[in-house]
Amino acid sequence: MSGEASRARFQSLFEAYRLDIASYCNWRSSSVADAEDAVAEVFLVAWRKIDLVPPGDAARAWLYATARRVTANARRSLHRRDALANRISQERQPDDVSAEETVVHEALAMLGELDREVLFLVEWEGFRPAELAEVLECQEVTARGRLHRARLRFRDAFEAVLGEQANSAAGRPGMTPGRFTSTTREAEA
Amino acid sequence: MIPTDSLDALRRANPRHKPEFAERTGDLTRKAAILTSLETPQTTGTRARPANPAFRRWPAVGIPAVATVVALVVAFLAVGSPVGPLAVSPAEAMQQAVIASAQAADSSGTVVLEISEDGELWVGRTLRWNGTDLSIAGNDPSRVGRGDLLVVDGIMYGPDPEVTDGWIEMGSPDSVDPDSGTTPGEYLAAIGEDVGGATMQRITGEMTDVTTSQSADGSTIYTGKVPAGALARETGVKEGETLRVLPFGNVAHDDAANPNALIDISISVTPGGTIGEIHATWGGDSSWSYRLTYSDLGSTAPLEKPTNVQPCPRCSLTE
Repeated sequence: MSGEASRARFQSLFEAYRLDIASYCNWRSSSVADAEDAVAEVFLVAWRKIDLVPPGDAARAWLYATARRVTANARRSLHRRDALANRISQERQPDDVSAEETVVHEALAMLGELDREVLFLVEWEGFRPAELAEVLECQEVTARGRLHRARLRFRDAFEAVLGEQANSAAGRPGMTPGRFTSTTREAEA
Repeated sequence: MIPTDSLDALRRANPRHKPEFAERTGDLTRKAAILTSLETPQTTGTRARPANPAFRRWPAVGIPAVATVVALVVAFLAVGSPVGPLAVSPAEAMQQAVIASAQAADSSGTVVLEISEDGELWVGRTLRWNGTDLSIAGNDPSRVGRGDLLVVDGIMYGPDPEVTDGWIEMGSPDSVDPDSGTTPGEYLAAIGEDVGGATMQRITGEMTDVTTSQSADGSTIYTGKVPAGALARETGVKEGETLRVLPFGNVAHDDAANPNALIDISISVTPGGTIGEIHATWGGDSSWSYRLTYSDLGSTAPLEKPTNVQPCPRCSLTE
């Protein structure tokens, strides 16, 4: 591919997917600065390897898979993972969120990281299971299984948060959050 | 009343439905736009300046607009410069070296890390990689030639504490806890980031007061100052204090732990156009020197399986 053709292809990819990748990196990063670095790194990789980026819609999954590796690398330390969990549970709740969104955020914070990611990609980003498998670099059947389990655990967490709120309103002791996290520790790529 | 259908609630909470989503998320892509516009092929005749924190305050614009504005700024600065419009700025030359280093380091390379405190070696380590093979060796004079970690052909080896020049086969790297930061894959990913990735782009992009000189071997030396935060990134909090870590994983002390402190730094670019050395110095309770020396980027010899290898008794008991 010529230099100008590469540049044109890269620009079209950047414009088409920059918000997607920024949203994903932001979701997986423990700070805005880390997210910004990750977005930059993803698109630098894409530019350097523009000939390897698959054509059509497959480019989207390729970029997400790259973003997943970049952000996983940035979060090598336990400190960063803890910071990410704290950020999801606390900082991702702007003032204008509804009561329902608050429950959703609290339920998401109770899940393991992989469960959150699967739900993010499928329920918010609109990935099909086959695309999810490409991002997670696993078999489609495995991706479907992870999605199924993530939905079940989210439902349990969501109902637990609702129950806790109901108990609080009635003056009864609530449930202890976090009981779901120990069951969801699946290795990242 | 809150609906109890969890998945419907999750879908309604999609941040993309928020009116401010595009603006907030778009803010995160400006650095990418700036950095990638630097790599415009030479035939276009325009090159952009490196990332600068000031760019973060720009309104949301697409990459063509950013590239155009940046090119105009570069053209203005170049025409107004005593070295003429065709000269490559130090920042641009360093960024190009970073990119060239990253591309070369994709396949193999060698990095020597030396950190000294008050003139005494505190940390010395040599990292070599070739493909997915990796060697991390301490430079402690009492342990010359002994590797802290060696991975060849998917097998991990460690030094045998009981046999001089002996090794213990530790099995597959898969046995190391993923995400612990200690798997060979994670080491390799860290090398990628610290050799030519975001770390190097940040350092060269935020360097100020840059002066240029030539060394005897033909390398170009860029000397200046950089905020310590560009060198040592925050990784968490320990005992109530923010923890900042230098490239290749050592905790930053004294001025390097203060992200706003300006520290002295010099970067050498080899005649081949890759980063040759980074040397940072700073003060505080002690006088510190941090030096990274790169060599054989893209041409480091394949790593060889060690001789005198013993199986790991403890490893076999756990299998």
